[in-house]
Amino acid sequence: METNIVITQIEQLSGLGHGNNVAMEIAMETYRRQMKGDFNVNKFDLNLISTCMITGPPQTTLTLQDGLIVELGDTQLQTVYHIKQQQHHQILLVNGDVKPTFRHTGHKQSLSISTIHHISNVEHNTTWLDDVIQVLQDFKISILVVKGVVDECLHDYCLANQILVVENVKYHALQVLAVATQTNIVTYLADAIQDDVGTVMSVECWESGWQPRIGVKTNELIKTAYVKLITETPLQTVIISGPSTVTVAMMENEFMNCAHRLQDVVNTGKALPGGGVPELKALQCIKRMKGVQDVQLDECLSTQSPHQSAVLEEMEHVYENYLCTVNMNMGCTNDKMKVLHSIHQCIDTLQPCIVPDSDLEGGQVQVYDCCRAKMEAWRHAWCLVQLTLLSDMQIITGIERSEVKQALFTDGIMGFL
Amino acid sequence: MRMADNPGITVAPSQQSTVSIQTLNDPEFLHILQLFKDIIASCYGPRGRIKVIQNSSGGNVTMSSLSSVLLDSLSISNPILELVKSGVQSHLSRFNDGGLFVALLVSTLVEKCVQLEVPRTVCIGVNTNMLRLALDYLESDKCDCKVKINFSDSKEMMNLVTGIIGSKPACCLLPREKDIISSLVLQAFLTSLSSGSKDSDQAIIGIIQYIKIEGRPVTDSHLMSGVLFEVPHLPTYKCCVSELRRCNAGPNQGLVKVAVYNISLSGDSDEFVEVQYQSVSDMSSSDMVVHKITNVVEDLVKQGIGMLACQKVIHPSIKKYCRQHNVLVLDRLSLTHIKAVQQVTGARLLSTLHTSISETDFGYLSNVSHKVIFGKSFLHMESLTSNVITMVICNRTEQSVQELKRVCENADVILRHSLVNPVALFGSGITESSLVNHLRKQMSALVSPVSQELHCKESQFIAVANAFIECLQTIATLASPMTQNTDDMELEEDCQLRLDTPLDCYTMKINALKVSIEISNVVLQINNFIHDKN
Repeated sequence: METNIVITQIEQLSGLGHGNNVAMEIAMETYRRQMKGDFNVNKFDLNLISTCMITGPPQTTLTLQDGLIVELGDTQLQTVYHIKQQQHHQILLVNGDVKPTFRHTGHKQSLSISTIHHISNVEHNTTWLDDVIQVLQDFKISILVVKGVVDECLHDYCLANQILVVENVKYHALQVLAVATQTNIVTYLADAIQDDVGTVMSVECWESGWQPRIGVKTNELIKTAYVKLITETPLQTVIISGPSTVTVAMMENEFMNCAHRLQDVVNTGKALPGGGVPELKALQCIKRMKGVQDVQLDECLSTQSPHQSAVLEEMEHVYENYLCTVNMNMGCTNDKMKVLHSIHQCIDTLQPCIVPDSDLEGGQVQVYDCCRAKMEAWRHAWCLVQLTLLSDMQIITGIERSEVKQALFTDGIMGFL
Repeated sequence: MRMADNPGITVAPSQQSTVSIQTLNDPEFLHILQLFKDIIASCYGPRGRIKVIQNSSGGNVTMSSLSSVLLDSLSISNPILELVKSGVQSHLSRFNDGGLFVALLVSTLVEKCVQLEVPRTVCIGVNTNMLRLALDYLESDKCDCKVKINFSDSKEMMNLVTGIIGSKPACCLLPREKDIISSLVLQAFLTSLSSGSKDSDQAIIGIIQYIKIEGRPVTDSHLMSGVLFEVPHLPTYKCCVSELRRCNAGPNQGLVKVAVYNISLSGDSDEFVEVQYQSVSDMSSSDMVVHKITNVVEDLVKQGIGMLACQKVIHPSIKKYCRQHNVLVLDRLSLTHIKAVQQVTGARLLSTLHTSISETDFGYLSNVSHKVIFGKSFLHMESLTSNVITMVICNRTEQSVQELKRVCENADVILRHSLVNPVALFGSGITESSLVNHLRKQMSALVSPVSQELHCKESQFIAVANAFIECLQTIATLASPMTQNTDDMELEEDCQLRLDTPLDCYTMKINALKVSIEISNVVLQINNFIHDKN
């Protein structure tokens, strides 16, 4: 049943998008660029793909850019312009804030001390700042990418020494950079060692082309700045723009779905035809099994179960309903009886199911599914069905007698232990 | 602290006390007992079904037929059932198996005895005598449902394991998957046995660790020697354990020296006294503790350790120091893994920062490697001398893998008990059927002496003894793989045994019988139970 796909025929895989043609096209372009035209390599690495969301533009669009694009504070633009002439920048990735008071998740302060200050003894603690600056100097860091925020004093130091600081970066982008530069993400900047330092080939400013609004209280244009980081390992960023956060998030999900399907097909080299084709073949198999008397299906049973035919009958109805739903959702027709008639014809003649008078008959794109995902879905569904059929009682705890309404239990047995 | 000082807490007005008195004969109690019995009976035997348990406010759904899980999840308010629950849990704490048997026997026996028009003291006396008769039979050589376990016979051992694993439907195992898991459990148990050191006569039974993997087929389950510990912070795209420090000379040459702590090394300390601290300069308690930990770790590094393991959390700056000196750091081991790590390394658990550490406190590993299994990062620790095994258990859903892990643990406990007493009883209701036959035959000899001893009528003795036998008969019917109606069941005189008949641990069954009758007798002694609601 599987359709073995040769990578050079990747254009056929647009059917993996299941109607999300734009997202699928971007996913395929991402793969093409990653492979740089060499389609013999059966690997699509999603760890090298990031997304950047831009909320505001009236239309929802997806575009692909090389490199990692992240949002930048407007104070850093000058630093970018200064360092973009240079090549090979040393980079550190920090998961958290770069502040003296920051503590990692799960840290417990078991002891609190109240400090009595004498006026003559007031002095600022600069130990932390000195340590951090020492790390930046020792490893010649020119780019600092931080998940949280950076201390003001350190910010000023970086500004003065042309060290690019990128704050509020989402963790996935940090991971993508870590994979591309083969480095670790540190929790505390002061704890970084040589192994944690990565290399970025070049840095550029990136214009989104979207100008949100003019400031309410001033006439200044509030514009979001972006920076593009290019590494030796090809990174890519999918720019998703839309009028609201909901639409943008939805497009991101659609793109990731398409990308994961493409990854599965590329990595395994297998795809299943979609549109209910496997289910139709399963229906044909069930029909054949019903016609044969001595088929022993269950390895648990030494003889054929007396209930086998009844179970096969019900499975047949389930697959028929599934095929009806798929065909109707594909927009073939609204008439369920017509679909059922077509299905029965296809079963009898062992032909692929084509609904007559369907608008999609002429120009329909062949839909594909991931072989592994589909098989796992079937296995998982079987497991859940098995668990459900093996259960015979639901016990609800935490109910007081006074909360129970008798009407809820007219069909069941009620009792309190 | 007075409630009035704490805003947001409303003290409910006290209500008038109401006292209700119930007896065992009350229809409400009998209904509750019947419900409890039905829940347990519907889980027991080859036709047992799964129970779905969830709290009314939502949250995790538990699906299981194991008595340990059911009794922990059920919210029982009746004091008699609480007593039964505690008895079952006490049996489970030793044997991990037979909980359903105990709960079913207790609830059935109490129900039947309460409904008889016989004084409770007579019931208790008859139950005790019938138990003695049953135990005498099971302990005698004439018992035909007993078999001596031959540890060199893998088929027999497999029957013992399969009897436990195959009886739990929530594991969702096909027959071939059942065989695979049974053979893995047996293999893990046999591998964990060790003859110990040459100087010692004692055999050492190693620990078996269990790793759950959800979403994979059961056939992907496998064993690994040593300890496998999940380390999500290690990236899967590169090997993070490159060069470890190893001992250069001596008897442990080439091995990785390990120090194991069971206290927090993250900057907080349990050794601070709970008073208010004031200082005249900027001081951080965590910095002080970290400074102390750093001194200790520097000392450990000088002593040549290659790995630092901690049950709790290690401070990032300590981790950095260790990484700079090629010392591997492993923290967040938790109670689940610390014992296994201690056993595989042979190290002594260090519980304070304020003592010197001698050479005998360290442990050793032959190899530490970073493995990526099913897309997750693990650290694999191996030792040439220890017999710690890790069993990687795979199943499709979260509920089924959780149930399978519990069942594998139970099977391991039963195997260990069988080491002490290598005798087994036939399962599938065969032992209970055999007991029923024997008790029916021998009952007549007891009628007269026991009736005189208990100062009761012979008819009363016969009624209670029959009730006892009927309870065992009910359990035998439920446990039997044949679908037979309890009322129409004809007990077979000869136990027809097949080569693949599941086995039960003898010690577990004897204890289960004793606990069941003991709890039943305690319940029957209760005249009233009083609720005070306020």
